[in-house]
Amino acid sequence: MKIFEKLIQRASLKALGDLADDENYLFVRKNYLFNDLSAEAFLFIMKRLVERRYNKEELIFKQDNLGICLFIVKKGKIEIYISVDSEQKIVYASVDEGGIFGEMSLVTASYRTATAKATDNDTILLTLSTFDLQALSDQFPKDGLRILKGITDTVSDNLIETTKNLRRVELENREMRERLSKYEK
Amino acid sequence: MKNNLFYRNLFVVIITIVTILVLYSSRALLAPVFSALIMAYILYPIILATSRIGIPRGLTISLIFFLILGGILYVGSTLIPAVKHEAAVLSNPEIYQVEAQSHLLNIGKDLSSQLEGFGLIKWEWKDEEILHSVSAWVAEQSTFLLKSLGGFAKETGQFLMIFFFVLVFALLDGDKCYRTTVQLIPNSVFEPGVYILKKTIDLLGHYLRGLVIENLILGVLCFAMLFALSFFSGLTFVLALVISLIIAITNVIRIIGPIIGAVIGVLLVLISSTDFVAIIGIIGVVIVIQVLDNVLILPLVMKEQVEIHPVFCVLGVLMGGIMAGVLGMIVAIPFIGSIKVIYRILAVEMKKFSMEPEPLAKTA
Repeated sequence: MKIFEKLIQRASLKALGDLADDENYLFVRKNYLFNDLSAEAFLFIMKRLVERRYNKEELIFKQDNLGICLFIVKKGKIEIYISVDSEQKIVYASVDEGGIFGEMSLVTASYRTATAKATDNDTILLTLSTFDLQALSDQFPKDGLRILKGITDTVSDNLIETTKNLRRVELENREMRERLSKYEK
Repeated sequence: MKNNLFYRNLFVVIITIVTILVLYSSRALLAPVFSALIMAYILYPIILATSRIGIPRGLTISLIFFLILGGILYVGSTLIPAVKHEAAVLSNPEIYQVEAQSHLLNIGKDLSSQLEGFGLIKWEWKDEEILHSVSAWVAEQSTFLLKSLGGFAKETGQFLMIFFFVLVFALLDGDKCYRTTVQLIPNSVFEPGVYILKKTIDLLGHYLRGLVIENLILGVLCFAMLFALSFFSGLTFVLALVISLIIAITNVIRIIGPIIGAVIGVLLVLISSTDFVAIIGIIGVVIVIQVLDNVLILPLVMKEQVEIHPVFCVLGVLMGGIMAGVLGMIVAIPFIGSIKVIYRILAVEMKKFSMEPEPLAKTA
């Protein structure tokens, strides 16, 4: 079995060497989700990443739709917003080159909590679907776990940030209510 | 509004007719391409599994290639000399030589005497004139069949060439095929597109692999029964193996397939021996296998898979036969199964995605 493992490793390293000229190679390798993957798992990811091009104002995904893909911004800028109603939207994040968004869909097959759209012309995104991650975890469980941990860290950071924001809004609300009651008196 | 609907329906009807005509006219090319893609899809897990343990894809593909080609050559080299021998024997003007060498005529005689013994007919097939006229007719048909084999061989050669070409490339570049298809999905429906594609591939995979497993079990069962039968009849080991293989393959065509399998099996026995027990045994085995398939194997293997109504099965098989001959009949059921899978996904899964355009909103 060791001989087979060595054969796979050698073949993967050779294939990675061939990929060194690929413009996506260094870009993806630098990303925190993929930088400590094994050669075989990284090759697996590189084979499954799909490049997409978007124009300015073009939607990438919509709020309340089923999400199944993670997106890495290779070029351009993305705006993420929540539609309050048909009249109003709240922009709560923008993602620049190298950033990742939509990662929650890789962990849970959940519905999108926000809408994402391209704000630059010729925006280039790299996508990876939850099915690719499942396939990776089946074949390379340790690497699948590494990616999942990276995503969980991001989701926890976002949750901590959201909790802080919620606390701030709650405090502001309380302050406003106190001021209002003073005025009423 | 009504006018619009009329033109839209007219457009759909015209497009459907044109598509059917294009498919029909290009059936010679489509049949091997489609068969190769289905075969590649069934075999792809083997390629993945072997490449995971370090065996190069090229080596596995070469092995599969030689196994399929070897099987075809073996069946061809067994059948063609037997048919040729029968045609040569039957065209002989000397009746005693025909009687001595023809398996077909001897089985006819045996059959008539057996039926007479049971009291089902009142005459025995002895008359030389009848023998002569029947042998002349069979010889004529066999000679015609052998003459037309030239054209058939050319068509088969073309078919196999395209089939193996597509099969090898589909097995080598299976990953690239998926990635290219994903890249073709428009941005506006990217996520639903990936979801539907994956679900379709999975369901289709379950259906096709279920079909293979079902027929593999049937083939093994059939071989076990025919092998047991060979101890009580003139059936040989190789013949039992070939008949089991044919019955397993033809079983893909629902309803009609088992009958075709049984007929081919009986014919194979007829050209190689004159054993009445073997013929009855084969028919019995086919009936037992069918009962086992419908009662036990099919519900177990194809549980939660696509069920196709018998009427659609028969119509599909007939249409497949008109479009692409025997191969069309074999491919018809998996093809109908795939259409049903895609329809089910489009009708059920698409509800998870909203395709309406985003309303213009003010930024807060």
